[in-house]
Amino acid sequence: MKKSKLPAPFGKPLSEKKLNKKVYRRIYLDSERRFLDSKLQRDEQGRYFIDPELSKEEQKHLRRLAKAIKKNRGLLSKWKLITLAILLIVVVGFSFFFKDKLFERSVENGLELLFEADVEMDGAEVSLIGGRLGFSHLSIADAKSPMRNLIELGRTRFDVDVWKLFSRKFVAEEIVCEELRFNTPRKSSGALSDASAQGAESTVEEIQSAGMEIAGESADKLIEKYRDALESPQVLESTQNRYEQTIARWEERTEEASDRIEDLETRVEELLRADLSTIDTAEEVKSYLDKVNTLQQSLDRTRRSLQSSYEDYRADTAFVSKAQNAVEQAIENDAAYLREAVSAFESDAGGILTEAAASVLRRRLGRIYTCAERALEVFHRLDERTEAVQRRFSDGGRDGTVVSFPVREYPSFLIKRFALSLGSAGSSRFSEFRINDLTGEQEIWGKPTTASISVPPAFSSELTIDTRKGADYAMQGTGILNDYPLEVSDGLSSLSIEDLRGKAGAEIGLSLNADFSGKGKADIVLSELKIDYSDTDSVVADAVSQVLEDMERIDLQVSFDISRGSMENIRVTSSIERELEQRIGAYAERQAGEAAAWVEEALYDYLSEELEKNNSLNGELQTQGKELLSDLRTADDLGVALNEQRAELRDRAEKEIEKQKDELLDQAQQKMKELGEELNF
Amino acid sequence: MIGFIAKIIAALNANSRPGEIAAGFACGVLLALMPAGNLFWPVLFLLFFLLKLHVGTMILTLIVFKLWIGVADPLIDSLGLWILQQPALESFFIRAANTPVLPLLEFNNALVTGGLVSGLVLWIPLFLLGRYLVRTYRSGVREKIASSKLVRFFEKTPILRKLAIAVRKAGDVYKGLSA
Repeated sequence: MKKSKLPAPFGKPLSEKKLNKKVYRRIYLDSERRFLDSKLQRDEQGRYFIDPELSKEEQKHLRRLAKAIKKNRGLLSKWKLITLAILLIVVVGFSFFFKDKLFERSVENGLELLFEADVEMDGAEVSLIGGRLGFSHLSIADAKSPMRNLIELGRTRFDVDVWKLFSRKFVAEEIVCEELRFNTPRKSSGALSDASAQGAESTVEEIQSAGMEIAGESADKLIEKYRDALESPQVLESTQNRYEQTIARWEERTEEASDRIEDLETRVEELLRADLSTIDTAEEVKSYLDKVNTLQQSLDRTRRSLQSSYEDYRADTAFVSKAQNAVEQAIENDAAYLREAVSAFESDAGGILTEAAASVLRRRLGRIYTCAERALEVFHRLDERTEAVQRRFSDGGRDGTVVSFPVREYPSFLIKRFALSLGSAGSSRFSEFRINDLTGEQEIWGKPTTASISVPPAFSSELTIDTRKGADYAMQGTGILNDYPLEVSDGLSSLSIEDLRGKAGAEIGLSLNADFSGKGKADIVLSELKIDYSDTDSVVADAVSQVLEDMERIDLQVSFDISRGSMENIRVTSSIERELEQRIGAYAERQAGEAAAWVEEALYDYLSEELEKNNSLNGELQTQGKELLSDLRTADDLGVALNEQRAELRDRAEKEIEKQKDELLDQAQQKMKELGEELNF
Repeated sequence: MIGFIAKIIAALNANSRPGEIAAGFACGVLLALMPAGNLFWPVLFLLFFLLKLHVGTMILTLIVFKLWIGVADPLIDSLGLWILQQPALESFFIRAANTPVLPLLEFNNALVTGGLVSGLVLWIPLFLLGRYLVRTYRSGVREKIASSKLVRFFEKTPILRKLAIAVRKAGDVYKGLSA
């Protein structure tokens, strides 16, 4: 027996409660319990302990039991948890502490290589899970002018919904690029230090040379591959050979024929030069004739020979048209082959490029490339095995009933917000360009695409493009133009205006249907008008200048229709019309008033004598009238007197008649009485 | 496969917690009930892997049950469909369907939901049953099996000898089969 160090939890004495809780509760085999019971002893305080004097076998047994007790603790595996925690810490640590810096450095180094000048990036922000990539400031110095920046960029952010990418949908929450400026001044030089510049240059050169080498090799291989399969080069080559042979053969014959003709020509000329008047004898005649005959015969022979050569030539060159046809046919065949090969070209080119790149990289990188190749091979094999395992264990046959819940659908491509602001080196103002809800599937997204442009302080515009069914208009837009410098020198000559300058402001609204028909309106304000008149003496110029010079602004309302993209039925109403009307009215009234007064005065001058005469005549006439009136009154008085006389006379007459009537009545009564008496009534 | 069987036999005979083997069994059934090819499955697998349960038992149970689980599919599908069509749960499911990542769980597949619910419901009875069986085995059956003629015969066959060696390695200290 040997004293040994006991493993935990048996190293210290344990109370009964602790023994049960920490040891017995974690022993699940009766044989083990029995073993432990046999070794446990109690001290004076009632605590349990194991005597360290154990046999080797017992020590071993106890160690294993202690290990099993330890293993049976808790619900979670410690080593798995630690592994997971380390993984999480690495991922989270990288995410929080390094990725932004890593991104910043990578971009700076990459751009420095590219632009060969200092690149500074601040506030880099990368989130792989959030799909965010951005920075607060980026400046790229100009290599040729180191105290200036080639490009300077403010807050830039690219925010994509990563989860939608899993569904093969590109949904960008935000793409923002603010305060983009070119050629801005720098506080310090943007030239790279010599070492880094050389490093960058050599790296660039190395990349370029490797690229050129790969490209050169791959291009050669690609051309070689396709050239070998083509028919036309061979046909062309054989045709060319035959041409060359035929040409060589006929070169000699044609030269020979030319020489003969030349000779004959000389001879004929000589013969013709002879003076016929000097030929006196028959012999001379004969001789000359002979010469002529001989020459004639030679000529005939040469002619026949040439004829025959020409026929031979035609026979010999009969192959030309056939060869031409053969070449054309071969070219057609090759073209058809190449057309078919176009679809395979990409993969061929890729394959050949890879092959060429492999050989170049193997030469340059040596063992590193071989190791990388092996690693890739292992990776591919693992990938294949994983796929095979997935296929084997896939639950393809277990297709359950799928219940569809209403899901907010997203278009395949959507940029919710795009913003770009652009400025110039000498100005703090930025032109802004924004697009919201940019997608080709507005029906799914349920919103129209809106865009706005702002070029302060002169111009701003908003545009809505709605391609959804039932939309009132396919495109609606408004534009606002502020203090735009205006100069018009044509078309105003009728108003005696040579040049009109000022500032224009406008608010333009436009609505278009899908067929480019629609309507629009514009409210235009012209202010700060300065006018040069061509003819200041004319009445029109005078009137217009008087009208326009007092006007502070002119309001124009323009409405128009649009048909097939062109403006029609343009209607213009303006404040100037009313103003002109009022001003011209007032002007005319003033002018008329002045004219009336002058005419009245002239008239009064011209008619004063006549008026005086007229006045005297009028006096005379009035006197006569008075006289007449007096006579009339006299006549009236006479009439009254007559009437009175006549009335008096009538009274007397009536009285006399009454008297006569009474007398006659009395006489009649008497006579009647007498007659009655005679008749004895 | 033999390795898994050896591990199970070793665990049965070792001083390991009966609950670990029972939990491995119950989790294996749960994983078998659910079809693979959705995010639920690897998430549950990872969770079970982190818990202190007998992974060998879980994987063996999973393989064995996967072979036969197709028989119960109509029942599981009906259960899943019933759950998915409960009006009270509709708003919950709609919200889940519109939440990022959750659609990858494919909970709208009746077999997934049915498998998960039936697996969870069966988990406690299966755990208790497994624990009871392990305890029963360890308390009495183990001794009888170890001394039976059948085991002695198996020990002579080459494959099973390998199995027995593996078991012995794990269990000899506890005076298991070879004791």
